[in-house]
Amino acid sequence: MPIRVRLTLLFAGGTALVLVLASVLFVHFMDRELRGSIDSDLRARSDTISQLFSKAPGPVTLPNQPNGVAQVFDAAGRLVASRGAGRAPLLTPADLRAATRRPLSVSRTLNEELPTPAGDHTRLLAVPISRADGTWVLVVGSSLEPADTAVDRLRFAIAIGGPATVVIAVLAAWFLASAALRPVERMRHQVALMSPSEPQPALSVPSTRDEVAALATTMNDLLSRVGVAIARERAFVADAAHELRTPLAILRAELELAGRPGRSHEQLTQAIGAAAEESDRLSRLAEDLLFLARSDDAGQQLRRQPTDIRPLLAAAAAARDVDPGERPPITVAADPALVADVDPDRLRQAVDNLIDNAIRHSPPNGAITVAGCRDNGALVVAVTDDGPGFPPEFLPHAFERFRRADTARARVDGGAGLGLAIVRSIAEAHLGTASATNRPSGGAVVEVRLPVDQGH
Amino acid sequence: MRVLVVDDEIRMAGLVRRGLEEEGYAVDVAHDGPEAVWLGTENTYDAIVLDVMLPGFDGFEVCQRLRQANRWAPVILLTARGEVDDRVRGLDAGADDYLVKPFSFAELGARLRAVTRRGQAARPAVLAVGDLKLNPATRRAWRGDDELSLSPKEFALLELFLRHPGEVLTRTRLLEHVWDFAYDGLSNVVDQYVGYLRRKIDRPFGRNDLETVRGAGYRLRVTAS
Repeated sequence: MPIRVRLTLLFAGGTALVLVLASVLFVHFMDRELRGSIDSDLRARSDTISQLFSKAPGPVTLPNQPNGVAQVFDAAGRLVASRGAGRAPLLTPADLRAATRRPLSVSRTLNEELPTPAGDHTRLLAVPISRADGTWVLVVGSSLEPADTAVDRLRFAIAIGGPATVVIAVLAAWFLASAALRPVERMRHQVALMSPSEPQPALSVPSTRDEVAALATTMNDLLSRVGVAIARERAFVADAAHELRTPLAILRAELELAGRPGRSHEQLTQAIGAAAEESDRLSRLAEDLLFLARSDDAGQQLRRQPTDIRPLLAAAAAARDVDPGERPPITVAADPALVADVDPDRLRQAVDNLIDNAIRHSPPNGAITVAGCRDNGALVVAVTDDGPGFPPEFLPHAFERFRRADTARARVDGGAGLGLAIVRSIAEAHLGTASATNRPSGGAVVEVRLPVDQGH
Repeated sequence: MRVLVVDDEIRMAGLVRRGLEEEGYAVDVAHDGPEAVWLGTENTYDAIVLDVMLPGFDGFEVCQRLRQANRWAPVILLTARGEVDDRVRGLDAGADDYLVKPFSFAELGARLRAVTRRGQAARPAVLAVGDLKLNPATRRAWRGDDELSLSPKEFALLELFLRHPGEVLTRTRLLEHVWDFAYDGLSNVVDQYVGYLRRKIDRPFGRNDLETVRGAGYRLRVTAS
């Protein structure tokens, strides 16, 4: 059920309840008040008249009763005097007998044939009068009609006014609720118009500085962040697709040329070799892309375990030392006792990437060092080379995806610019950092710092 | 046939060269923008196969610079960037064709043949005669430094005149090329629009380049600028 309807119903229900309670109480007390004042009046009149008849033989007529009726009964229960009520006794004999002992109040509707304000709903008060010749009874009565009418009128007014008030309250509640909810509906409408692929933080923030404005501001923040994330993702996909196209084109061209008639065995072998190499490059690229896509999506799932660092670094270095005669060996420097709580596969992947970069940028006789040590509660792995170092304008962007130091990919084995991005992703998954600097003595250093103490 | 192949990926450039040489082309190779422009200006090529992502300046700019240097060798852009925006940009920069990687040699060969059939007439993307200039891609026109504000029909009319400078264009020809078959109106609509055009390109500048040739039609005068 819409909030507006719920609020209005609740409000209407509450108002109606309050009104009913108030009316009931008011009418009740009004009634009591009115009857109370009639009873007091009757008591006063009975006192006055009792005085008159208290001494035997006493008068035989009652004074004029402008506002009611009165009757006097003697000790034997015979009607002695009557005013305003004719000759019919106002009380039954039983009541009379009861009244001889103590005052009796009763309400009766008098016989309509009586000539007076009779036929009315009347309140009667019967009091005993002690006389020398027995206990007489005086009955005085007042019409309850005014009281009844007053209460009836009140009830009528409430019967009309009450529902009217409830209706007005309902309308007021409806308008207020609508007014309050209108900004919400406006926002909902704006959001509905937004396209999911291009979220803009374009919700209009109302100037009321209330909860709705706060909601709009927060939503705009979210939309900004989502927009940034989507743009980044889209850029990644576009770049990835583009990067994949080049090796694919080479592969295809290689095969198409090899497929032309009249190829010698040697040419075919060469073409197949080149195609295989390009396939490798493609699958490495695809793996790298998948890795990065996955870490964007779900964050890297690390499997930390106590790892011997030196053997890991040595294995990475050995895997690359395929032509020991061609270049100086890669030096590994780490304490054999160095053990840290890291994900060994991921660390190996990062070190592999760093060594590849170093090899790619090293001169033929350049020395490459892979060092590991513990520093301030962190495992630090650094790869150093003797190459030209990072171009200064590239350094701040070194770890971004698809960024290469030489934007010309004029190298035969040109990478796609993902190696360092992957290293950073692995470092961040370990809650660590990756950094790159140029050594003053020449060459570059890329350092990975992984916090491993305190709870890991 | 002499072809210039430009690609910064050495492997790619090598493969294209090999493929074309086997088909009898004589092939030169460049690996960056500046080298491509230099070679393209120094030598006359029958066609240029041009990658877009180049160091120095990109393929679009190579194309523009060659056209500015009056080199009208047909250009086929061969690139991994295949978005519509890239293709529009490349073609508007003065390229003659656009082929997206990965490509097939068969298709590259066919497009080379198609593009060299067309010959090497000057085909500027932006038309210019005297101090009148018109860019069909951006729908803008200028006389000197002043931009002209033309309606679509006036623009189309001016474009036609600029494509045939100094030639007499008959009313029929103007009608056929600027208005379509469905046009059912009077043929003096041509006179009307030439009038409008004059009021925009000649009168405010005190010129009289758009002349009436009595009994024949209209002509845009070629003034030495």
